[in-house]
Amino acid sequence: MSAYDRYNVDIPYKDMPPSMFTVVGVSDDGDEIVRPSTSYWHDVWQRFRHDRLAMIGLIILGIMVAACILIPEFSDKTYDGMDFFNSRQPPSREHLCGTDAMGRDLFIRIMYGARISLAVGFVAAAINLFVGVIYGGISGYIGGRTDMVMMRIVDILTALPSLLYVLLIMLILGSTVQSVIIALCFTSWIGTARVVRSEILRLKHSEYIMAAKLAGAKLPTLLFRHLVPNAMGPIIVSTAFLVPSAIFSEAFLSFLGIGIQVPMASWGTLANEGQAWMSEMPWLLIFPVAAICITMLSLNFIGDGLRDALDPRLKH
Amino acid sequence: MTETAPLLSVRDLRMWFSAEKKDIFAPQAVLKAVDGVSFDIRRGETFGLVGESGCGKTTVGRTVVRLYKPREGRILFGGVDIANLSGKDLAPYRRRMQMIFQDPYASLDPRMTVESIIAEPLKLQHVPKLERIARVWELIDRVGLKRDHLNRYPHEFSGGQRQRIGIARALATRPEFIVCDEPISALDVSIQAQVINMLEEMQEEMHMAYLFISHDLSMVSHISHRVGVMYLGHLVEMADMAELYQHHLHPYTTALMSAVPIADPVKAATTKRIVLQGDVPTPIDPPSGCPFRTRCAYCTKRCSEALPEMKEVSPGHFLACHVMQNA
Repeated sequence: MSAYDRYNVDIPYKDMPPSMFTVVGVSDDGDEIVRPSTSYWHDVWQRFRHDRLAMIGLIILGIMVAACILIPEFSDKTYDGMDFFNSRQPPSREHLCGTDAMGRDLFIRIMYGARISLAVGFVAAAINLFVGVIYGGISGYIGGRTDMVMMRIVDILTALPSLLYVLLIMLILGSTVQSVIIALCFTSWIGTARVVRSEILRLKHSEYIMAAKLAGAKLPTLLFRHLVPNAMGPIIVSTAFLVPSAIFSEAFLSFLGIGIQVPMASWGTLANEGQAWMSEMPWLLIFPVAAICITMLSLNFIGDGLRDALDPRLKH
Repeated sequence: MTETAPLLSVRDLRMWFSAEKKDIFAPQAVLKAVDGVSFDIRRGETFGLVGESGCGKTTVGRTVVRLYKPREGRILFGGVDIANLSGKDLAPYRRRMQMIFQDPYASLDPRMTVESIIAEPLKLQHVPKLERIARVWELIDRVGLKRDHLNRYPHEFSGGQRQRIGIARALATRPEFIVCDEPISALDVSIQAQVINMLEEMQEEMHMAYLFISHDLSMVSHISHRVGVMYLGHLVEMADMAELYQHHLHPYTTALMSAVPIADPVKAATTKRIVLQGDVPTPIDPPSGCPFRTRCAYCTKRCSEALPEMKEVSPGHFLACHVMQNA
């Protein structure tokens, strides 16, 4: 009589001797990976490629960059070449965007202006990225009192009206491209720093960060090998939107007359000049403003596309 | 065992966290996650640490490998107190102690390939490249993954495979001591056994010591030589596995033991399960005296007055309970 009989339950295998059972074990190759290995950036590019607006933006921006690099090199006209016999010309085959009161070709001036505007935009964004990632990364990772002090400094900087110190910097350093970039970068890294800090705060307690610490990683390794790459999505998005905002700020400063000075011209300077001749020679205002708008739109579309492509939650 | 000195010896370890303040004028509250824990682990031995969620067992594990700096206490590793070391002084010990994490999805950097994940500890220890690659290949074979998995990313693997990657990373620097922080609780049952068996085999091969943290007493009893039971930041009972299984004395251990499912229906029908009343008190405001007294059936007046000390009730069996120590 087996021990189970007392309980009056029906166990089908109760009379089977253990010798009738065999261990079947577990197979190790249960789950074979058949999908080709795709990296994160490959996925991002796939998603970005299917975003029509972003691709149009990227193509327009590409054409703009190529044009502003190549056209001035191969053209016989220069940004300050005056031709008084052909002044105040409306757009024609000879002068694609017309000429101004001193007979300077507007098209070539816009191309030179694109060099300045795009350079200002990208350099400012790069500096912002660099400063923002380091400042935000350190503040977020160390945390505690350091974080508190660093973020209060940032708060104070944001509280100052930006036009005030931009004017001061331009006055002290003079109206050159470099001083425009310095003035624009003075506080605009704060946005990036805040984004980086919040991302780092979110990631720094992850188990893979602990694993890296156990492996002997120090702050630079933790920050630049683990934390920043994992926070790259939001960082890239915030940087992508910094480019148009820097271009726009530069145009705004030049439009006010405190940015790039004539005869060198950025888009803002050109628009400022054109504005004086609005009724007689409208093309002087229309073309520079159109250049600003098209570039701005392209960059914003690219930024939107990047944001969608980098956020895996939007992955369908 | 020829060696008598333990590899790791933890004495009166305390790890407090500052709790979030309700408003800035409130006094700083402290969360006493670990409040005076002592134990020894010998080479090649597995010390199991059990307790329910939030009792501080994970904090013990993380503090012992110095992910946290303890507030008080000593952590003697190979005879050296590492509790207060930092930076350069701590670096040589990083190689000798490693950790296997609970969540195989969170413990691998999603932006790194399997190869760079496993090689990272070696790289940070300045192992030359060729040697590194050889070691990674050896490890990947050892944990039962394929070499063509090396340039893939963690998201392409199943939970069990990821945990093997985590184990390979932990083994990379040939540590003497590994903290296994609930290494199997996120895996399904069929995979659990594989991972546990692998850990046991490796222990035998490399003579490593494990601190095995789990809330699953049956798993701990399977793998551990010695077991400590934690409750609210304190160790309440500690003994060899067999001793604890048969002669557990602390009311909390008894309740835990009664909750272990029994495979034999005859035995199961005759065993009564003890269901504890109430919830675990918050470690921010723990009860006076014995931490377990609010849920203990044997609570006396003395239990609320003094914290019971760990006393050796029989060789190797330690107990912290006023009532049972005298019984």
